[in-house]
Amino acid sequence: MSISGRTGFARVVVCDDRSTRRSSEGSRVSIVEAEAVEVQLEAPSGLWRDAFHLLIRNPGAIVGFVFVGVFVFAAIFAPLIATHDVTEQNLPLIANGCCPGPSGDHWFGVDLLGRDVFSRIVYGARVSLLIGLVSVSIGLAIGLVLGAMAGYVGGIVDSSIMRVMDVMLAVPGLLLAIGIVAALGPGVKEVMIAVGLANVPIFARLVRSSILAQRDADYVVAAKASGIRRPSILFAQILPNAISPVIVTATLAMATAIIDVAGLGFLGIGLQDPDETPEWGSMLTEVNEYLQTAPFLALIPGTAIVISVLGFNLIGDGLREALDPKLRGR
Amino acid sequence: MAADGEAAAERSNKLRGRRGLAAFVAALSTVFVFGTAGAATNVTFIYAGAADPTYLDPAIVSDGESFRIARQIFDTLVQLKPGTTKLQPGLAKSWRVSRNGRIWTFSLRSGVKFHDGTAFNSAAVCANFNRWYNWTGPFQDASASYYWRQIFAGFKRNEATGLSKSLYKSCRGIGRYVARITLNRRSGPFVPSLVLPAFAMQSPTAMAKYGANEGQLASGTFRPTGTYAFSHPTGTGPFKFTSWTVGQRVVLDRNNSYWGKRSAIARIIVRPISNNTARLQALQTGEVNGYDLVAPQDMPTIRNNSKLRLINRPPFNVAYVTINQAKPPMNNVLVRRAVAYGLDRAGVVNSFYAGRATVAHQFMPPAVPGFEPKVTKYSFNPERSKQLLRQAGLSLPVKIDFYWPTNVSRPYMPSPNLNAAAFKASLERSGFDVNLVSEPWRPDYVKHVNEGAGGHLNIIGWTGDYADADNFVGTFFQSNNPQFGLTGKGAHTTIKKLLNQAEATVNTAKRIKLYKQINKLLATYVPGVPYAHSRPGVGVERRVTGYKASPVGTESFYGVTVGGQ
Amino acid sequence: MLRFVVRRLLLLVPILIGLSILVFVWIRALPGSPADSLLGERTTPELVREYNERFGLDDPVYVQYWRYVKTTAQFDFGVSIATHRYVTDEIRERFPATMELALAAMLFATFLGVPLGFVAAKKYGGPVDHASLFASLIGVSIPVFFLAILLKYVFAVRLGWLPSVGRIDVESDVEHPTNFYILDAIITRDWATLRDVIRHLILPAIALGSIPLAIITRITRASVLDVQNEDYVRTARAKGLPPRIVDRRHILRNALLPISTIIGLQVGLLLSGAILTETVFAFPGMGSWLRDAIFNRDYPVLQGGILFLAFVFVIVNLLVDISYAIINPRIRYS
Repeated sequence: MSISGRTGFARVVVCDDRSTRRSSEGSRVSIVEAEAVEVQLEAPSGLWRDAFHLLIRNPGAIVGFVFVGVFVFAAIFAPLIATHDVTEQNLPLIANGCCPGPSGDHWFGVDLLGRDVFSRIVYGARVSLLIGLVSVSIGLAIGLVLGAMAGYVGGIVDSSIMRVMDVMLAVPGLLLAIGIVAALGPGVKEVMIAVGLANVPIFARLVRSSILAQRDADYVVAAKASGIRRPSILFAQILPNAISPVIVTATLAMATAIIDVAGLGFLGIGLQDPDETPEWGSMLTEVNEYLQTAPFLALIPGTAIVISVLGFNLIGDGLREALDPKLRGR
Repeated sequence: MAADGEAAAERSNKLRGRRGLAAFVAALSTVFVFGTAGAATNVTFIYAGAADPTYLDPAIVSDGESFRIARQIFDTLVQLKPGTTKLQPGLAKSWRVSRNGRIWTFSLRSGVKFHDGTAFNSAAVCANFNRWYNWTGPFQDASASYYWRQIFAGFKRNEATGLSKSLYKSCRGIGRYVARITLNRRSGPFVPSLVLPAFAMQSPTAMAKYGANEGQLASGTFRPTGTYAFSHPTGTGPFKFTSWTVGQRVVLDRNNSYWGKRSAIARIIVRPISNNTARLQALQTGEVNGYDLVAPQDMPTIRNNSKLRLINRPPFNVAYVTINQAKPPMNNVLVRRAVAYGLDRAGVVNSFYAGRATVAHQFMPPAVPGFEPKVTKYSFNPERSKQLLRQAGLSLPVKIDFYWPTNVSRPYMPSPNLNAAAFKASLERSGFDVNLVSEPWRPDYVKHVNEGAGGHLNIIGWTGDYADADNFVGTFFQSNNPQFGLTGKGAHTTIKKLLNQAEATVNTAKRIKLYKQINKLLATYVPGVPYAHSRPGVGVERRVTGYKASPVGTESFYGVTVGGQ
Repeated sequence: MLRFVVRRLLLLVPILIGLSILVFVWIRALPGSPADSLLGERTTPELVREYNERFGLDDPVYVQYWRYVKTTAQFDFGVSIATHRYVTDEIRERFPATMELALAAMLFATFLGVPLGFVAAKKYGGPVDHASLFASLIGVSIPVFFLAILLKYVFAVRLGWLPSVGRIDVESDVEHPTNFYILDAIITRDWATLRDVIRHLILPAIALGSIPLAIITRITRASVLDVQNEDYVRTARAKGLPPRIVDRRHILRNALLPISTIIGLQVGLLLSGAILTETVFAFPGMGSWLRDAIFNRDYPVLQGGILFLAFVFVIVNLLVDISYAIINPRIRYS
């Protein structure tokens, strides 16, 4: 069996695979492996077609698509959906202390500064989506390059890159992100970099495993034998096959990114000005002291986080099942 | 005390063998001893602070929790009348100054003993002053001797660059009960500053015995290496030190040989509870009889509970908006007055201080001598603000940066985010275009604001240490303070001159007049805009009586009783 | 076997050195200096300058590094800027708190997760199975801090069944020689305190253990499913052994192998979860300690605390590897 992903915060995906296997990579520090998902060695086109059909029939995945759809919709159309200005304070409403709950005027109530919670949630989706996309892309891009280099070139390049990845993986995701943000300072850009960097080793490992597994596959050997040059093999043959686990991982990484960003926001180590830039996690920071009087201030942002993360997790799981033939029939 | 005796006996029973029996007997005897001392005075008072004290030697600390303990164990030469900022005799019955203003003669109380039996007399006074004056090495660091450095400016042999010639020259005992302290220059703040626990009288014998002057600097912070500051603080106060279990409690017991009336409380237990909600809950469940630093959102809860009472500290702080004149156009006084008109101070005070603050119009609270009720007051007037800006030749809106701190809550500013947001809104109605910038309080915000590296406007504040105007306006304006971008030119020259004069004046009435003049000037010069004096809250059970909350943030529990025990 | 252990132990040294360099570099990368916040509003630029001068913060990097190595090797982590206490003393108090919490979380996750996963596997495809899968998914989708807030709200604030903050009752007067409150209470047979400590542990442990619970459930289920179809199980069934014995002796025991490896992997998860959980419950462990230190720029605490944690982490991984090698002999000879 194998588990995919890092042993970081909130983000481990279990794939129900066969026997426990020792890692084929000698570069690891630990025997116990967080292995990459088994790579599909079929030709690409049949894979996608079958996967699509499986996905549609997966109820969990459908729910996931709905959740993510709502999330993305809110993020994109925030200016149209929001009922109030995010920074507009309605101080008279909280003059008697915090905080009036949901009402006709303010669907989700009003926060400590008299701002409309519904609008902040909607714009918060935008912040989460943006940061999530960018950081996953950063992690993917850098990880892809590093993993491809390590897998295809091998040798010293391989072991040195993987050593660094091991060290990074040894630190739990949230802690790594905290460390990076603490050093870089607060701000949207810095959070993106921090969460992105925390994703790099996962993708690097994944890509490397895929490439290693494929390198000795029959069709690659055949291609080499017929004289096709190495880079061409890499791009034309290996990478397309390696893509599917990457897609799965990227989806799941989105889920983790949203949680990590919320975690940073909650700890108060995230965005520079959480009052101006609404972010779901930071909306939960001061709430601790108001649980008695205004619990909705906590429940609403938290539920938003759960729904969006759940959505990505459901899709990712569905994709994984759909794309991995060994899991079919389970 | 009976209840404690029972509890002690119960726990003792859990111990095995003879030790258990012995402890049981000891506990019983304790009950008898205190029982026979008079039933009504066997009271335990349990109080929750926000943190542990740092050390028990008040001369080397500057935090409120350490001072809280110190105020029970030690006396100072001069005290504050409980609940006020008026000076009254402490260990010194009276004092006078020589004609040249530099020689202070203190008449000391007789018949006073330290907790270890050492006599309190002029030799003890001089031993204390000379101890501080003669400090070397790590003790000279601000993390150790902050208050000595603040008031007395230097040591016998200065080792750091920031120190100057000491205010203190020498101390001489004339007979056993007269101490004559000679200063190097005239100082108005000298006597008022003596109420600080940092200048409390400590037993020279105990200090010598337990290594009070042994210390080191460990990773940049001062730390004493003797045991005095951890387990042997010895003063003359109404309570003496019994034990300190770090992170759990400090236990003080009544000093039965106190020079004043015996306290009604027999034992004080101070517990550190850092979480605001937990402190409140401890009061609600009766686990503590009182606690300090009530969070603003908990105040209605206490007020609405019939078994509890919210006690106000008289305001002794000021929250203000600094105006950095090093950033144009703030160097133009018309612009600064426009800011004063453009801030809706009344709105902020009414909305975010739970009804426990008043609008501030000057840089010191009313309780401090030198407060001038008749300063120029700027009420919120957007039109006037815009007018002034135009008069200054600026095109509206005027773009400025407004800095505010995150991750912090101060007694004078419980919710900086709310203040900043509200100020931005009111300034934008007054012809400004405000860019809010937030930084974490530690380390960036404080550092930047103090260096003048923040915005055109910044919010910050100050809680007084002792009841003297010099501690407020002197601290802010006597130097070319980068916080305000002061350069010593223009009106600031006059202000500085007056501040120096006031500091060097010893006659109280004259000083008051000078400070009033200074406050009037400040209100037209507008180096910043003070906006709130807040009343921090202390929560107690209703059966606690005699609690007089001091403006300076910590008080002695000397007159307190807990009914129903 | 011995060779294996020795080899891994030797690897520790370069790892520790690398970690110490990493921590050192990271601390230096943090903006600001400890002096900036020493005295709050009372800090002045002159005081900061004096501080930097006095503590050689202006010294060249290699000098500072050498000083750091020297003091750390003597286990002198310095003094916390916030509390003025020795960092080692604070570690001695805080670490057992987090350890207790982490162990409680793992116990919760394991003793709930394994049976759940087992039952889910046995009733494969049924509603229980789907429910457990769904619950697992929810478990990894809820942020730990939100779950903590929810639990606190429902069980502490609303229902009042459990305490909402802290590790022990504020009134408690008990001594804690080892700082493992549960251990201390058991040693002194102080059942009232034991009950109190456990009550304070329940909610944080559930919050912290939610993700390990999800993972363990899922892995147990998968593992049992795998093992169920193995030949030796079929043989055992064919032999006529009663199902319960088959379950216990063959299935469970073999299925537990991969599960135990997972448990070791959870340490990282628990660490990051601890920061969040302890903050919500004001639990005085390493998590809340480090979080405060980051806010307060308490450099000595950050330096000592992080290095210590990294060390613990490496040791735990080592132990997990060794135990896995013991359980699975095939690994040793790789």
